[in-house]
Amino acid sequence: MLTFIWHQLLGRFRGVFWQKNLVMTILTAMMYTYLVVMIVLLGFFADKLIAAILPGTDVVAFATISLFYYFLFDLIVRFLFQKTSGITVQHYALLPIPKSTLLHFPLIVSAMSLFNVVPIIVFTSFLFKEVIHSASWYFALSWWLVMLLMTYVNNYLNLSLRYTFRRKPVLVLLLLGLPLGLLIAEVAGLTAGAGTWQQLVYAIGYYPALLLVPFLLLVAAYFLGYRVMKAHYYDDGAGARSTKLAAEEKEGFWSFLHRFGTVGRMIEVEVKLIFRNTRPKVQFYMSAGMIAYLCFMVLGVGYSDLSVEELNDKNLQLLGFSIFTSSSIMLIYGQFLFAWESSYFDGVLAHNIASKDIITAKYWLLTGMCVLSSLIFLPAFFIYPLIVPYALSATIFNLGFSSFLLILTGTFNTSRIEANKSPFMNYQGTNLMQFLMVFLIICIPLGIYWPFVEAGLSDWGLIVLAGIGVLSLLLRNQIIKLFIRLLNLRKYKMARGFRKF
Amino acid sequence: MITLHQISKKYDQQVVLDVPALEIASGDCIGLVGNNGAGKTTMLSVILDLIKSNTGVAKLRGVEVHRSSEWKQYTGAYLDENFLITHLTPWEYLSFVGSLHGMQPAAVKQFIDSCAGFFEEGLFKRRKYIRDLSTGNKNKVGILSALLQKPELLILDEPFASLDPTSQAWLKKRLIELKGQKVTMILSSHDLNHVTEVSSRVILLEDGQVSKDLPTTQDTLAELENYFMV
Repeated sequence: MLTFIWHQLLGRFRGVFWQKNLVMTILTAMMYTYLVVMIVLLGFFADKLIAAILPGTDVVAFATISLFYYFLFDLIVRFLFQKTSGITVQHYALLPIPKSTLLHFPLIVSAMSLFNVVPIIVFTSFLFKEVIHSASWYFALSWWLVMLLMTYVNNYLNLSLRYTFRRKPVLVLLLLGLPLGLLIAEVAGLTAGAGTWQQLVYAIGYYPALLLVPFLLLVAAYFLGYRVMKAHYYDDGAGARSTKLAAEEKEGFWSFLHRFGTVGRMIEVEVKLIFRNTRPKVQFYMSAGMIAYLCFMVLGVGYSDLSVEELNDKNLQLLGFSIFTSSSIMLIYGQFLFAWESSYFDGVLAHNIASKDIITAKYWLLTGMCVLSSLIFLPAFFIYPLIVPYALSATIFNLGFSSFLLILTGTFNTSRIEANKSPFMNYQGTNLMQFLMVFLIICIPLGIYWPFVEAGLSDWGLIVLAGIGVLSLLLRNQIIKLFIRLLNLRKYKMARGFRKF
Repeated sequence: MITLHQISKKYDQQVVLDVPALEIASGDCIGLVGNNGAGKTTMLSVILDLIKSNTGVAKLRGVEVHRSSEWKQYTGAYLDENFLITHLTPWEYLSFVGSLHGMQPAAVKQFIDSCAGFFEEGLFKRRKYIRDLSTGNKNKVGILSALLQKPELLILDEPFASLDPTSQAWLKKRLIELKGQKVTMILSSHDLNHVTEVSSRVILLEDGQVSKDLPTTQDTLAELENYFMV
């Protein structure tokens, strides 16, 4: 077992990414360090956050109650995004190793997942900052152990749920609706799930022998996961997949795009790429979720107490926020434009697909993503009407200008991406171009807008930005012709970089 | 049909392809042979405009391949897995390739039905993604995609590799039929038997250069075996 874990670590640190690019390795290490510090600080200052939201409340009690819903939502997030490392087991399947060892390995290794490590760091920081001062040391330790054990209960429950829900996708609705339903019922005073949970945790804190309860839960979850994996040892997932694909074929799902000829077909292939490969799929959902999160944090929390005049003074921030939210999905997907198709780029070049259709399909795909981002952003317009001019200007600018900027920078992607690998701690294909792209997309419009703000003509600045977007849209065909030429020049380098030998 | 003129390609100062002149007439069936690293795939990639040669030009029907994409309308090719859209099912992939040549789904289905001896029954029924198929089945999907649009120029790189005996026999028969229909073909292969049975002309590459270029006769197989003998 230790050998397997060592192999897992070697595989992580001998990845092509780490060996290829020293600058990127250093930058990524710095980013990781920053993230770890932020996570520690989150736990350390959680008490201040709680005190700010609910002044005078018992911080530990409130945190404990909140963690009831955290663990429920955590299960959903894990179901959507956490992959098991079961695939690694196949390399060892032919060796004289007992099957039980092969089955225990992914279960044990999953304990090292970021989905577990991050919350444990937060709980530990909170323990030392707050819990340990609020009661006895054995209460604090018991509290921390309960959270640790429940984290791992979720980790192993997720495994069982993934296999179950894959066969019966309608049950996913139940999984998604349950915590939300419980939360609403609790707020309405119909249930007291979180309150009961808090009492149970406190009871364990005062009578540590009761730790046996969450411990037994963990053991049960672990062996349930083990049994499920054993039952599905030979399962390649094709059964569940064939139901979904049959549904797509039967309903003529994609027939709308087919009327647009090769361009529509290319868009269809790329949309399927997004939703049938792990990395783009997860990034898509995360970027969509980020819009909602940013709207809540920036508009709901950051700007909710500001007066209209104060809000007007934050033009640059509001524009930057609007640019990012309206381009979020497009930007996060578009930074690896063309690279997503690494595995079949030769086919794209050799098949009867004109360069014009390749570029046009990319343009319309990014446009669709920009529109989708803006639709997710739309509810914010009704709550904060002041954001509307910024959002409109940003959307038009992104539609016309940023989409073309992404196509331009996309032709300089030459690193292969394995689209079906998990995105977490996966920096394959990442280079300085991605950072440059994000920097340009945010900074160019701010750079254009800033002089207008300084001159007291912020409204004109928004009009100019929108005008640039409109102009780009009107000159779309000419710009596409330029990109066709660029693609024809760059395609050899791109193909060579993407090719798997 | 195909003209290579002063083609050379280098990687890091090492010459991998050096072909001063090569003409392939319409209807020729070329068997391209050579050891690993001889330059076979590089030559095919230059013809398909996947690699830009350092010098020279490759022309199809008198038009340089990198100046026009008209050649894609009459060319069917499959080199390796880098051609396959692996997140599609075999049916979706062939349907997509067919649509690029104006083929309706019914026509694609008719083609698949006509190739029933080449693949096992479940390949187009099981709805697995191409990435989940075995190597042999992936190759079959790729080869079918090249044959689908009834190309006038067919380019296949080691098509017999990973195929089961029945499929190899089927493919050989189909290629001989296409030769009879005067389809221009370039087939690279390590299997000298297949090459000499199917092709009308054999080009042997060694260290990126054309070492032999001879019409296929009864003695060609023996000649090639003698050449490669250690």
